Amino acid sequence: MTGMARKIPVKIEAVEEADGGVEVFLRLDDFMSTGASFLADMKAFKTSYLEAVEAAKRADVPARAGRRVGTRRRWAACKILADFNRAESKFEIINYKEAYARDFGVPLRSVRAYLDFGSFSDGDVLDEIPFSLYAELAFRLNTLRRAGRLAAEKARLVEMGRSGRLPTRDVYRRSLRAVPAG
Amino acid sequence: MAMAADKPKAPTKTTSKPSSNCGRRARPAGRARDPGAEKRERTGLARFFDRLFLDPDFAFLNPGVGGRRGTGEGQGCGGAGEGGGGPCGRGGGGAVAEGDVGGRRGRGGGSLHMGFVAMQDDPREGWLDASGRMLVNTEHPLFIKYKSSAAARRQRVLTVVVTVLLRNAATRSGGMGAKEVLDLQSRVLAMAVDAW
Repeated sequence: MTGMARKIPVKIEAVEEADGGVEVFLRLDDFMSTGASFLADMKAFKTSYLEAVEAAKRADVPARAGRRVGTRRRWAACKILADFNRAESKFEIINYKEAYARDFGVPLRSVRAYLDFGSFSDGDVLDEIPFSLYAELAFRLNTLRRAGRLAAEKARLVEMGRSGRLPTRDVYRRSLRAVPAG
Repeated sequence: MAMAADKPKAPTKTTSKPSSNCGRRARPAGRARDPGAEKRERTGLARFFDRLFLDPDFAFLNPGVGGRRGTGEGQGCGGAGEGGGGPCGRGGGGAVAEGDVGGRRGRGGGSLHMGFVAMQDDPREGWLDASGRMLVNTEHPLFIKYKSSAAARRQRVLTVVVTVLLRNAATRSGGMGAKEVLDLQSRVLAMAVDAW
């Protein structure tokens, strides 16, 4: 390891009897290496996880009833979740897809796109661009990154959003698929 | 399965299409960077339980195997190439193939996992829930008594784990008497202490 404290891999799983409906699971080996503050650390981690999910849920609501969730509001929610598992902590969630899908309420296959969208910088996200286009971009994130086209593609999307020339989702998906893998 | 169920490493067949990135995948945005995690090895007690569940004399303790102790011809679907399945031992308590101790495995290596729940009114120290996950009650008087000392707490939890495994096996088999269970508990704990 390169000067970084090893994080303890844990799973967040639904447990009916548990406070908050979820519980933190860790490996027997890791438990055996824990210190005296272990229970307090676990409790604090679980609390911060539940708070992060609740904060993401609060952010991911439409500004007005009957409207879709604004793209920037969704980005704020995704950013909370994306940042949580990267935060300085003793623990690392290894089943984060299942945990977020269950507790945040998104399809399992979309969790990765949500988290990748949450990693976008503030200037890349416009309310004028629907989340569905960002999701398409997030699905192709690795391909674009390897091809060295990610920054340019983000800029192109933002430019289309600003100029009001946004493509439909299908058209945009096809254009992204045309990018050769790096 | 949360407890016992994360399998030891076994070669797995992949049926996915070949991809252009030659199997390399970028780190997901939600994943914290931990360079050593994927190479982490199971040590000590996890290895002890892996070996225990592979030992024909103790394989019936594996909560992922639904057979009875000492009878039948046991059949597993683990072993080379079938790593990702769930608990699939069936029939009697025959030998369990390597890679067949139940559950799925993920990053960080397969191992026993346990959760800690605070159930003040529950007299149990630990149990397997309906999904077969090991839960330890942190509000049990014995856990509270020892929780300030890390060494004592570890010893207590090890006892709980072994007791829960034995209780589960005894419930399934129906043919184990109290003496047999207690003797076996002492034996397994003594073996586990050596591995600790």
